[in-house]
Amino acid sequence: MDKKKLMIIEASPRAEKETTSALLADLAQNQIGSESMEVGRVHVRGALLKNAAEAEYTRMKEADALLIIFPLYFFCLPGMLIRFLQDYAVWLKEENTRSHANVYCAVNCGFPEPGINAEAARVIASFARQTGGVYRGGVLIGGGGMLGMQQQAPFVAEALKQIGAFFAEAGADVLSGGGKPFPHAVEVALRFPRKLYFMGGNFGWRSMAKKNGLKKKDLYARPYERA
Amino acid sequence: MKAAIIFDDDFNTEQSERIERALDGFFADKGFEVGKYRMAAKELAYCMGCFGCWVKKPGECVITDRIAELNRAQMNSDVVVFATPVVFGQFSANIKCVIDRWLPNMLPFFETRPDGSTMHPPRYKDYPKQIMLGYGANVSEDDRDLFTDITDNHRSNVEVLFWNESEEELRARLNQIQCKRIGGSL
Repeated sequence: MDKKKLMIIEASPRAEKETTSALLADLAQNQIGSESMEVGRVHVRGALLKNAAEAEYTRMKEADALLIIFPLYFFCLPGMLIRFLQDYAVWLKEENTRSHANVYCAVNCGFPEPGINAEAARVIASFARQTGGVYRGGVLIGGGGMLGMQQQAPFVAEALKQIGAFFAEAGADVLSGGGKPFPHAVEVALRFPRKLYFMGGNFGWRSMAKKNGLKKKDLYARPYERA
Repeated sequence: MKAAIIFDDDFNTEQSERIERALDGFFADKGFEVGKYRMAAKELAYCMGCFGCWVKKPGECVITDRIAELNRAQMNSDVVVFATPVVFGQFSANIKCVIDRWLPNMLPFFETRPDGSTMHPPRYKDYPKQIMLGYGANVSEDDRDLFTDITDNHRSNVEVLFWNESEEELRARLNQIQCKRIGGSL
């Protein structure tokens, strides 16, 4: 049997290498890669900043499946990712071709409620429809910012286990040819008190500002106050 | 009264020309001073999620390009219209870059909305009315619904309109919106 190819589209706009998207991409690669499945990776930020998107589009076009991993920005895709996908659709049209890939996604947001990612997953479904692919489903993750920081904590380990299970199921779905039912949306929330999450987050912002030499009142600056 | 209109300069079509004509007419009739901003690809850097606008230079993006001009213009207007092509049911890339980089205008903290969802609280006591005006050829019903849901399901005090091939209809819809500054959460 020919190996199937799955391409992980890692789409954090952040400059650092250690992002939540990178963590999830590593997890996906470990869960999905096998003798029957070749897993490749596309780094969206790198591709766009190096003007190397077209080479990646060729790899994406040849893949049997795409797994798009990204953070939520203003309740939908970050500008960087929509640029990459918008231009991919134009490229396919110019090449007079269509994708045939199964499409999956993993969306994480800094707010604790995972359902807030639902519209972003629908955007990926629309992308799949309009480029010739088939949207199969996504994992919607709340409190994503904590995944990288607290990996050993039981509530994070449990969330990562659920996310890993989704990736494994996606891999099996690709290998089976997508003939079986697949969960459309899996929500993963941290089992962590919301109040503590807010307290920790709000303390974190103040602490970071302090490290940058700012005082508490500086956080509330209004540089564009109406004249 | 001031209006800021943000266009995607890479989608100049007959539709966008008609939309611009309708907006020009509407705001002229109402006596608004209008600022127009046309965003092309690579005009703005992408938001890189560094949160420098919250913890290094609060209220301002740390990337020095046109965003300071755009954010100042928006925050000093009574109404802002984002005239955006609908791409896969959301904002086009050029318009989404402007929206992403609007983040400095909010505070970093977490708060709970009346409906129980999370939000970042406002930095300013009031804001321009925001209108998301979508357009495009052959936009599916699903994508129209999604374009509306992205805003309506998560934001308050932001209007969503869709171009329906009629300048008169767009002006009538705009007439139903109070184009003035608003307070509270966004």
